[in-house]
Amino acid sequence: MSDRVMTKADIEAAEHLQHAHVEPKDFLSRYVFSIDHKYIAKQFLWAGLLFLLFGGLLAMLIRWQWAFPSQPVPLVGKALFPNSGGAITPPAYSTIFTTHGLIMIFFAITPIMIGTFGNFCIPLMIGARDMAFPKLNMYSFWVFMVSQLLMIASFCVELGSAAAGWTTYPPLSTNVGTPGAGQSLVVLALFVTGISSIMGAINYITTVIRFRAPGMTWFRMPATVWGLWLTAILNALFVPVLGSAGLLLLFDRTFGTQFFVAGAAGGIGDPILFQHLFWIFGHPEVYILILPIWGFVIDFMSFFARKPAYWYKGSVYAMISVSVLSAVVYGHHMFVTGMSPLLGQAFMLLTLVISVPAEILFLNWLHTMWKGSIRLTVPMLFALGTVFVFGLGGLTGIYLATISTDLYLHDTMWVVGHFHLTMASAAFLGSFGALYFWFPKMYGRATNETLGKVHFWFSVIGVTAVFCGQLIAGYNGQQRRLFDPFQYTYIKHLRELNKYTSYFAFALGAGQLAFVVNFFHSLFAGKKAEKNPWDVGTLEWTDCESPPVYHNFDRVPIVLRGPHEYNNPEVLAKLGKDWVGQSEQLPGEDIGIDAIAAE
Amino acid sequence: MKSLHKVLSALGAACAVFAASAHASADPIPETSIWSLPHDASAEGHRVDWLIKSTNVFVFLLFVVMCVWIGYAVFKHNKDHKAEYDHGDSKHHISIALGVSALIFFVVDGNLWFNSSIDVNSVFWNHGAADQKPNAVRIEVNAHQWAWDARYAGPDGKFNTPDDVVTLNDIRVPIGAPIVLQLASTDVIHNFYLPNFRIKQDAMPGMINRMWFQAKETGEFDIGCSQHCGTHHYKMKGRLTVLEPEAYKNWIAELSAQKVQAYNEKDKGANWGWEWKHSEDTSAPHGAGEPRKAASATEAEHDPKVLAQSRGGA
Amino acid sequence: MRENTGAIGMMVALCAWAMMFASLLFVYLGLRAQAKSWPPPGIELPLLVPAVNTVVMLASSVTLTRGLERLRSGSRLQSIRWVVATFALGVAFVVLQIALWRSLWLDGINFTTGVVGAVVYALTILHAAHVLGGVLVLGYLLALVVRGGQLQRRVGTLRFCAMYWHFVDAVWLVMFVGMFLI
Ligand code: HEA
Ligand code: HEA
Ligand code: CUA
Ligand SMILES: [Cu+2]
Repeated sequence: MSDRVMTKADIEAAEHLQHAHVEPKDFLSRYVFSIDHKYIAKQFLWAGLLFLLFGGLLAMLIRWQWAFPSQPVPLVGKALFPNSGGAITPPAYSTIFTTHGLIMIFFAITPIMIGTFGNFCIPLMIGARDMAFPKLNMYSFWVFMVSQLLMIASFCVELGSAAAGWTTYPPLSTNVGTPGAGQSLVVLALFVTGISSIMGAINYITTVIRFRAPGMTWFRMPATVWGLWLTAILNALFVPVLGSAGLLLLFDRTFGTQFFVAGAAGGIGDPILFQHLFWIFGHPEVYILILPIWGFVIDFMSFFARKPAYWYKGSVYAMISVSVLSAVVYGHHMFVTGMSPLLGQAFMLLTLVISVPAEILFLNWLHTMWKGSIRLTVPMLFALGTVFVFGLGGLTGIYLATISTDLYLHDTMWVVGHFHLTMASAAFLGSFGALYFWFPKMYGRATNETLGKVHFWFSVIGVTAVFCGQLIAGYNGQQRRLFDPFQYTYIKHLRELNKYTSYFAFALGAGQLAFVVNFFHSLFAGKKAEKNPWDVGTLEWTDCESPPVYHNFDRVPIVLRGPHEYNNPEVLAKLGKDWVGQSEQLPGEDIGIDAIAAE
Repeated sequence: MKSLHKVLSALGAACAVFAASAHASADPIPETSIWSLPHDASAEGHRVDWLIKSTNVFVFLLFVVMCVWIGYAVFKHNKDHKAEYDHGDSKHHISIALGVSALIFFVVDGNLWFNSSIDVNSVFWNHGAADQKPNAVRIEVNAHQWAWDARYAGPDGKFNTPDDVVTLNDIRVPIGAPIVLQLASTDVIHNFYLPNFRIKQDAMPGMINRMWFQAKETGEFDIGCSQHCGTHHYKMKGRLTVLEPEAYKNWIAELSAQKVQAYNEKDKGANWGWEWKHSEDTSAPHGAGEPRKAASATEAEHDPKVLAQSRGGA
Repeated sequence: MRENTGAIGMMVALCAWAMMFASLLFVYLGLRAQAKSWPPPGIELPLLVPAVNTVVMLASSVTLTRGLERLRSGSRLQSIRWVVATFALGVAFVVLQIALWRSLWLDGINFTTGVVGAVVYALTILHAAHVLGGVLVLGYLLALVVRGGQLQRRVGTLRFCAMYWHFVDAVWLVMFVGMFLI
């Protein structure tokens, strides 16, 4: 089964390359400025969860306003909006949806999905003892902290935080439209968080290239690692584009340059150039937010259907082609800016082509389930939910990819429904699935299954109802970002719809309590986790304790096979179990080196 | 396996019925239904509606297949079922996966791409053809926080003359004639959106964008702003009134006469506008480049950027 | 082995940096393509100082390469000399850039003077900041030497520094040709 013959020298080289660090003893370098990837992962998790709560509460405010326009917000209204008797005001509303979008994307989902699982999974799953640059990894987290503080600070200045939409289009985002320090602080926070992302990406990319254990060929890597690695590449290449757009915008705001100012301020710049830069970054960004999830889902489908991942290479190629295509479709966000028909058609075609790899991924997931032996564990439930909502989200995307239908649907709630089904549902559920899956390995304790299932059902029904509610509103033409949608006559009849959507959103929010209780209870009082509770074969479960020791592996593992060997007849016959570890030697198996047995 | 096929064929039949009914219902479903597109008052809106509805059918089908597949697998291939050891990477398997994906792509995406290309090239973005029609009505729209200014050339057919008709948040057009708009903005980006006509277009500062539509029935419709443009974005609402040609002519004539009387050359706020740009020169880029701070009065009338300045002061 | 890992990391970082500068230049090209004439009437962009600076930049790349070569072949003292030369050239570049901005400012071109002002200042300032960063790292290495440290043990650092330096040099070449020459 081992297609690469290893020499003893290979293995020694690996041991040498990844000499084990000594665990530090002092408090600071252990718990604060830790360079241990597992600990940094947990730091990102906490930072991300707190901001998820923050962003989630902002979403509740949005939904309150749409269910009960201009009525005082219960409980917190008086404190937050004292001047209007507790009701959300139009300028406050702009700030709320803008910061909701930015916080969810950059400060909640990104740190949880990439910061946490990128850090935790990559070294463990490829058999490395740490990241390639552990110090850089630590800086990445602390730079991220600085950006979070900037974000928080933006709420404390006069005129409040950013209000130009998460897309930050100038001239609205210049001093013409949003004077005040808040908007500048937020743009700066994005720049700083970008630096953190790039630092992380450098680490992930290099670690995967250099630190794979002997025998861990590219196609023996778990799909999770593929997803995170491709995400890192997109991060490294496209976040800098947002960085320069942000820098020039800051120049416009603080030094009076006129890159993006035109119109009333007498500017002679070009606002569309910003849109180009924003979406050259922004479109890859949305795949940054889904590629790791695809990786998780490919793996979980196989792990819990107890079957090899169906056409695994095909799925990997599909992810690679989506990554490549993501760089050349960004124009579909700008169909109504006055684009030339020829260019528009090219972007339309390229965008539609993305549905081919997406379909291959779907077919592979569905086929992996088919004729499997499915275990409905909590991570599997979340993975199934992810497939379901991503199906909805992806299919609604093709309406937007088409120019003539986008002329109608652009900037309506249809777009909002589409991207919540992909990001706020697929990436949201997928991240939670991953958290339930790796929690025992991270903290050495098991989570509560019942609470996990309660959390799952609240979440999956909640997101489906809320975001399909948005889709319906968009189908009726309701624009997004409206403080009070019912000013317009043609959507007056959507009052009830918006109200019920809000009720589901409140239920969705309340259902997250099941997670909070589960999380804290498991952290402090959960059952001690077994080494390999899921009976899967990837290295972090077979070769590490729960939680792993400081240097992960006493001996760098030697990898013999791919990550998805379930119900292999040979294994069943020889070992009597339906799974086999990637580094587990079968009786009589030739692993291509002689000296190992002697050790 | 057999039962799955049965379920699938039943679903296929259901979808066919659904599709047929979606297309058969020609008369507008009342606006109180949340399941429909807004009433279509445009001569060309049916193109968009058709694409949306035909895609609904495909999407519905795919989605149902996906759900049934997941559901069946979860219930039947559960932990009591013995899993099959299959990597799914034989030639046979791969060609099926590629074949199915290609089929979906060519049918679903092909339908969208092919029809949309035609629609866009021959209708929605074919501004030149609409502009050249003899009965075309030309309107200049200038957006600003948070209202729509509209300018008609008046009886002399020339913009920036005393007989121009200028309105606020009130655009009236005749039925059955192509309405050609040129859009610009004074301050930030706005978006001129006609839900009942299935069309929208950005209004950009420093740049002139075009769009056109044609009404097929009279009545009053909403004009929306579809780009976040600040605090009162939600209130940036205008009214589009579609009139019989006769009524429209009378309206223009009456307003124009009033305007000529009230014309004041020095009123910069009222004298915004630009020389109507024809196909060749609107394709030119947004005219950034040299600073032009002190423009002369005549220049001011023709340059959307300078227009912007005078408005900004007002 | 370790050094190779670092080199891969450095390459990734430089790709990211390249994307950043590419985006800045994209904005510049976009604005310039729309200008009726370049530079706009009444504004003259200097050529002499940028040309001298191009020479300075190219020379500094050469000296740093030399320094690295000598360090590798074990000529400690010579390598220090070359590094000092590079450091000096880097400082000279920044100083000349400041002189350039000053003369522009005196000519009445400031941040708000249309696109030219924006482009010339923002892009060159961002670039000069990168040169300054390189200068600081070289300065740090030299300070180590002065305090009795061994440059020999810093071959890796110097190598990454050189990769970065050549990159910043290349960016300047593009800027010079794109902004001042044509
Ligand atoms: C994780 C995030 C994510 C993902 C994955 C996607 C995926 C896609 N998106 Fe989306 N998109 C966003 C996040 C995302 N998007 C965001 C945030 C915005 C708006 C930003 C803003 O304006 O604020 C946006 C906006 C947006 C627009 C601009 C709309 C507008 O402003 O007018 C467009 C237009 O083309 C688009 C298209 C697509 C397409 C074609 C895909 C494709 O990748 C989808 C591919 C998937 C499929 C085609 C489905 C696969 C097939 C099946 C489910 C069938 C399976 C069944 C069987 C095989 C039997 N998206
Ligand atoms: C990944 C990104 C993401 C996520 C997860 C969400 C989540 C949600 N979003 Fe958001 N949204 C955006 C990204 C996201 N959104 C973006 C980009 C925009 C556009 C902004 C713009 O127009 O500029 C937007 C806009 C937007 C709008 C439109 C506003 C408008 O156009 O005017 C609405 C309205 O319904 C909405 C609702 C919701 C709801 C109800 C949720 C719910 O899913 C939220 C549920 C979650 C919670 C309630 C949090 C629970 C907390 C925990 C689980 C943490 C527990 C904590 C500890 C253990 C410490 N969002
Ligand atoms: Cu104008 Cu929104
Ligand atoms: Cu996109």
